[in-house]
Amino acid sequence: MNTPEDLSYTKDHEWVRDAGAGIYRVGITDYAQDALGDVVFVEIKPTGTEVVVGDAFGEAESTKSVSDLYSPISGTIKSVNEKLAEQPELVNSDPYGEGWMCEIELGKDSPKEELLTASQYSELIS
Amino acid sequence: MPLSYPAGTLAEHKACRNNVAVFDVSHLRRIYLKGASDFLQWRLTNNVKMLEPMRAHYTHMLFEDGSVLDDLICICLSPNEHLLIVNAGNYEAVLEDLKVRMKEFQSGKFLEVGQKRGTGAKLKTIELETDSDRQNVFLAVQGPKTSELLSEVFSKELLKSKQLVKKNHAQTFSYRGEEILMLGTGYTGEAGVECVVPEGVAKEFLSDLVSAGASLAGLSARDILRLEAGYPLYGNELGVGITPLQAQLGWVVDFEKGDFLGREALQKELEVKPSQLLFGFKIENDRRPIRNGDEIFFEDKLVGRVTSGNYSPTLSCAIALGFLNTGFLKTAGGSFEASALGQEVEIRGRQNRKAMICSPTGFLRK
Repeated sequence: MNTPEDLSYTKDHEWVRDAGAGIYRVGITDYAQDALGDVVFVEIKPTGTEVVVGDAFGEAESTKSVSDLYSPISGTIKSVNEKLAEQPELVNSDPYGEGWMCEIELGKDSPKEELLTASQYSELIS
Repeated sequence: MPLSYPAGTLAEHKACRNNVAVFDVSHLRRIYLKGASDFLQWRLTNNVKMLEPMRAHYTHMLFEDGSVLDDLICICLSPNEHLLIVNAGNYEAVLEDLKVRMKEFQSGKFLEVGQKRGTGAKLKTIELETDSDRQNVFLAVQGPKTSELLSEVFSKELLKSKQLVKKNHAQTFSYRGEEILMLGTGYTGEAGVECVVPEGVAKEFLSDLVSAGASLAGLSARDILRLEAGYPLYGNELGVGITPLQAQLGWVVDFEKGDFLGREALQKELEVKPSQLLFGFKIENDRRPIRNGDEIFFEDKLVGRVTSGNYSPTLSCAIALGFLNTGFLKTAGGSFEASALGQEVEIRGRQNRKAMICSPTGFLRK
C-alpha cells in the first residue's frame, strides 16, 4: 500500500495534507480505496459546512458498500472536489492526488487533533 | 471465485460488455443423471421431454408449496443422460432431494397426488454422478467477442464450423486430447458460453483464454452484470416462499406437460393474483447505488422491498430488482404487470428517492 511520507493520517483511513494558510486538504488512503472497491458515488457536505473532528463530512459508495467519511480536523469546508461527481473512480486511481475529497479551514480554537504519521499509519494497516 | 481481481469490478464489467470476460464458476455444481428423463419431467418445471440431445434450458425445482428450491440449467446430453447445473448454496439440498424423490418416483408414490403415468411406462434405474466423480471445472466465457476469442484458442475446430455454440445449444470440442463441453448459456446478458472442462486441462485452458485476451472477472462484476440483465439470484429474487410466477418467470413452468412437483400450488396461484411480483427499478441521473433491503413506498405506504440493487455502469445510474405487493396499484382493466410499468415509487434507504418501475428484464433493452 502506498502511504506518502508528507501526509498525516487518521485511524479511520483519511489522509490530511497541510495546504498552508490554515487550509487542510482531505481524502481517503490507498488502503481505504482498496478495501472499499470501485467507488461509484461520492457526496461531500457543501462548502461552508462546519465539521467537527470525527463527524461525517460525506459518504463514498462503491459497488459493494457505503462508507462514511470522517473529518480528521474541526473547521469549515472551504472547497469540495467537484470532479468526483462525474468521475468518482479518481478516488481509486489517484487517492492522494486527483481523488481528494475536500479542503477544510482549521477552526480558530481547534487544535489539530492527534493525527498519525505515515509510519504510524503504515503500522496500523500492516 | 474472488469478489474481484486487481483490475477491479468496473474494469471487469466493462471487459464483459465490450470484449470477453472469463469467470471461474466451478462453485455451480454439476449433477449427471442417467435414465432420469421421466423423473426430471416430474421433478422440474420446464418440459425436459422437449429438449433434444445437446440442447439446454433454464428450469426450476420447486417445493410442494410452489416456491423455488433451486433454479438451474438442464442439459440433455443424450436421450438417456441429463446434466443439471445447480447453485452452490443449494447443492446439498438438491442432491438430497433428488435421491429421496427418485425413490418416491420409482416406487410410483407420486401417482397418488399426480396425474397418471401412461400405462406401459417402465421404471428405469436412475444413476447419479457429480462433478467430483467426473473431475471437471466450470468456466463462463462471456462477452461480444467470445466467438473470435474461442476461434483463436481452438483454431482448427471452431474456424471450420465458423460458429460459436448457439444460444441454449451444447457442443463438445476436443482440447489437448480432452473433451470440453460448451454450453450456449450465461448469466451476464452477453453472448458467450459456459464450459465444462476436465480438471487435467483446466489451467491450460484458462491461461489460453487469458492469453487470447479474455479478462479474469469476479463475483462482484458477475453480480452487476446479471442485475443489469435482470437475471434472478437465488436467495434474493428466488427462494423459499417465492414462486416462479412471483418472480415473473412463468415461462419456465410448462403447465401443459402433465404433472410436476409444485404444480398444484402454482395452479392455485394462477387463479388468484400472486401476492407479490418482481419488478425492476431505475433512478435516472443518479449514480448513488440502491441497496438490498431498501424499502419501497407508494403514496407513503410500504409496498415492497429491494432484493438486489447497485450502480449500473452500463446505464450510469442506480438500478434494482425488488418485489411489489400486488394489492396497491389499481389495475384499471389491464394487468397489474402492465399497469405498474412507468409508475413512480419512493425507495427509502439511507436517502428517500423517487424511482421508476420497469420490467425486471428491461434495463439493457434499447
